Amino acid sequence: MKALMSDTAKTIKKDAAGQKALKEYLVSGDSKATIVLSNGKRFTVSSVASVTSKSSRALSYPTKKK
Amino acid sequence: MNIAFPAFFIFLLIIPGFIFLSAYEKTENTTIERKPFDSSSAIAFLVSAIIHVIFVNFTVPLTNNNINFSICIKLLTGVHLNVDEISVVANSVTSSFLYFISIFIVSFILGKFLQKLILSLNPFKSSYFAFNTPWYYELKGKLSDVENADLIKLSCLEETKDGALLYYGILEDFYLASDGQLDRIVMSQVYRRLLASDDSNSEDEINAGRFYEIKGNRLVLKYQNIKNINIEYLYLSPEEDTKPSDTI
Repeated sequence: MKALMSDTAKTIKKDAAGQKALKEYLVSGDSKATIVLSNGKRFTVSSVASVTSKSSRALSYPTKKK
Repeated sequence: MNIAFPAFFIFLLIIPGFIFLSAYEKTENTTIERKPFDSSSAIAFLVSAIIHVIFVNFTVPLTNNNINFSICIKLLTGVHLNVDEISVVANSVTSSFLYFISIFIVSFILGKFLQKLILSLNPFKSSYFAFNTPWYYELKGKLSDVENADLIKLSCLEETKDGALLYYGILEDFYLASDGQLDRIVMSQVYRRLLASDDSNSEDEINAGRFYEIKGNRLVLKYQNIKNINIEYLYLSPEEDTKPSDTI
């Protein structure tokens, strides 16, 4: 059964530079790093959801109308 | 023959329920929900009954055919048929065959359709009608609607005679056993190290020599040999600005 792997992750795994960077991230112990692909595209890999993901929505509170 | 035919007829009647359940519970050739035989049999009987009722009342009339229930009951109970009834049965072989084939196909399609519907309406482990297979949701990354990871990093601890080994890698595939438990996992980009290497206090030593890459495309680990698994969900996001720091 295929495990979780998004299209972005597949793109990074197919790219030689991306694959190498991902490997280094795996053993680095860092919680966050930047992966640069051969075509110059940059991605942030993190074990914590980024501020643009759904998980951050709960942090935004509606402001009171004066 | 007199004894076997009622059993065969009952078997034909309940098969649609089992076909439906098989289609409903299987995805990618793996059963994602395994029920005890008595429970699944009861559900299969019920589903068979429902599908037959729908077919008999709505589909069969559309084909300008009708079902002789008295002959059906006689076949089920093993009562001998008279000559006229036997000729009716003989003339209905083709239509009976078509009835059962079409009901088997519909059962399969209905099972798959309902599975897709349930998975799309209840996609997460926390969903109300989620399947009772925790591993499926854990390793597919479908925990809740706020956790939308991109890939999974696994750290697996395996005991060997030389000591405990840690395997780090990206989870590619997983296989469930017939009871719904994890059977084996397939990882790529795997690194291995001895857990004893963690005793070192030197930072350089930790980052330099403790890992070594396993040559190969995919590594298969059997779950029965794994002591524990650490699942780390990784998130990928495209960068807007180009900061040189932390670049790998």
